Amino acid sequence: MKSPSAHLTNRLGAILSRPGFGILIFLVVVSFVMSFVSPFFLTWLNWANIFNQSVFLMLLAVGMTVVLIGGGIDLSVGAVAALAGGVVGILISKLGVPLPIALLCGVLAGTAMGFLNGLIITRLGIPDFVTTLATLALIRGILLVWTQGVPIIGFSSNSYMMLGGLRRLPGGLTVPEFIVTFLIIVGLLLMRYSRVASHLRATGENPEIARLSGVNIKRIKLASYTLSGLLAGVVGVLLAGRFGTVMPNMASGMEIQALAAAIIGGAALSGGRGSLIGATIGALTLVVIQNVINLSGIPPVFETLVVGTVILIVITFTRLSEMASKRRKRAVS
Amino acid sequence: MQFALVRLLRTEGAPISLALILAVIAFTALNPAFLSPDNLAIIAVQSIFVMIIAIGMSFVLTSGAIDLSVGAVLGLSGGVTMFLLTMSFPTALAIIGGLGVGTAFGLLNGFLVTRLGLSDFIVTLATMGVAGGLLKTLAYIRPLRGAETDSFTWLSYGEIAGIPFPIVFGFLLVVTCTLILNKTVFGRRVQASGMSPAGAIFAGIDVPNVRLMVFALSGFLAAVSGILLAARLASVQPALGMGYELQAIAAAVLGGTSLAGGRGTVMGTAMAALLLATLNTGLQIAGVDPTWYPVFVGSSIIGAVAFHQWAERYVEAYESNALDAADLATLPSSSV
Repeated sequence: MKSPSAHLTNRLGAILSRPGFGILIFLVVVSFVMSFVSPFFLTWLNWANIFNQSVFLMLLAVGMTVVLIGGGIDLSVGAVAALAGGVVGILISKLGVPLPIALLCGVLAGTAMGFLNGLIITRLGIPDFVTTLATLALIRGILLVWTQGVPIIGFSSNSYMMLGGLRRLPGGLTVPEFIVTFLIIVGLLLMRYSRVASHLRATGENPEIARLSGVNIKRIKLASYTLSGLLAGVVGVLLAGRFGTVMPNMASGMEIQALAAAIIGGAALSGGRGSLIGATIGALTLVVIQNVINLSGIPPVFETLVVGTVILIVITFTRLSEMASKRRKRAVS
Repeated sequence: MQFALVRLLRTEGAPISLALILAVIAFTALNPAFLSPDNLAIIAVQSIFVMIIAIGMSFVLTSGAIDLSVGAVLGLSGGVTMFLLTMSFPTALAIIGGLGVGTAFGLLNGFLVTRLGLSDFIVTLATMGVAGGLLKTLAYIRPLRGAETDSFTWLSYGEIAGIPFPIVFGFLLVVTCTLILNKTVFGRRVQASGMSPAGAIFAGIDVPNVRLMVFALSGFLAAVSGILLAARLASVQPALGMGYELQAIAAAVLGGTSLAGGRGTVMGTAMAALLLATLNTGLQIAGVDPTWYPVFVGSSIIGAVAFHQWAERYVEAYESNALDAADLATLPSSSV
């Protein structure tokens, strides 16, 4: 018979060991400290900005988490996003295509690239890392050749600015925030209740056993990459609206940030593990760190140094607390 | 014929060398000036910087890990050396300082990965940020140029018996590292750690320790490369080394090193680094718009890996056939 207090400790331990919880504590502490450093930090306006900036990374991190859970990795998402944005920009500015159709084409282009990644990985049997690294180079190259390094301009409009979150809705919220929140909720429900999600986890956990249990692991992987491409396409289309121009190097490096967010949020590169909420919080954290650096007057040259150090501290801290809680559990049993 | 093909495919670095020869022939056909000794020497020297870190990467990948920080560590080590030179330190001390910083970063990576059990990917991603940030800070404090001593410049422009020093150095490094990976106990342990960590532990190998040393080696080699590159460029930009880690991974994988660990080849990596530099220069000489370069590199990586997979299956199929044939031949005739 367990005593109520032991039960409570267990419950607390279960919550504490949830992926993304350590990072949440970190966020709260940073916010608390920052509220003393800069009075502006805890204002509604600043947080509205932070949310509006973090939505893109959140969506990419969620897509990355899905791929990671399936045992893969997608390094091409930044380039795919740029391609999707470029497609929209060209269609509107050069061909005068109406906005909704251009958006659809952009998202489709992203989805197609994700599908292509999945095909190369599952049909040719080339490792995920190599394939998506190569398509990253390939897509960036195509963008450079295509634009000759000149940004695509002249496609912006009031409704597109609204869609990209450059203009706020009455009340201070933006359209991308709604779109991304909606997509994340759908993702959470799917990960929780759908059979595909458990197949995805099984595939990432142990592909051989999943295959023997009747999971079509190739189709699952193909689907996860297609989804990642789709989400990257959505991000690219929204980013194009946000910036009003598409540079050939738009969203470069975002794949690494998305990966960092997913892993901070509890995903493992070895597959089978990952949390959409964790990834969302991870993405938010990265943007908050950026915001803190800006607000506290640290010269921009120190930015990468601070971000790198903070990530190191966070993962070390999370790991140490994990080790401690394991030791405690062993002591209890 | 089939046997000769299998022999070729099984020889370390042979397929990538073949690709390199084909590329050289193609570029020479496009422009005979490509084959001039001067041009070949330039290509070889240009390939050395990526080659050195790619060799470190091959060790790390073979041991079953990955090191994303090499590019930034390369830049920082070059930066530290240049920084010490601008403070009028003797050349030898400045170089030791650079090597020390690179090795320290390698050890830090190895410590965090093996002792705390953190993901190698995220650890080296973070140290990539730290090292890159430190270089920016150094460059912010003072411009990292204009203090090269003669002996420092010699590292990249000096010649031994008419051969540029970087080429001599690269050659010696490739030979040494090939021997280390293939002929020493340490090399075997690296391979075993990547092939099957659990199996390696059962065999009495201290896998964490092996990985720690491999990370240290990777950091050290990144520093070596960074110092040579600083000597070559005679200045260190705040973004030096950015993106080199991806080229290093590309070279290692093109050469036949497996991202899954356990299988690695220094010779193949070196040839692949040469191939990447050849593509870069060759495309320029052939008058191709440089914006096409990433497209070529990207597609050649996919092509190379697809080829490796095919070669592996082909060799396997051939060997199992050969085994069956051998079985039949040794069976007593009555039982057939």
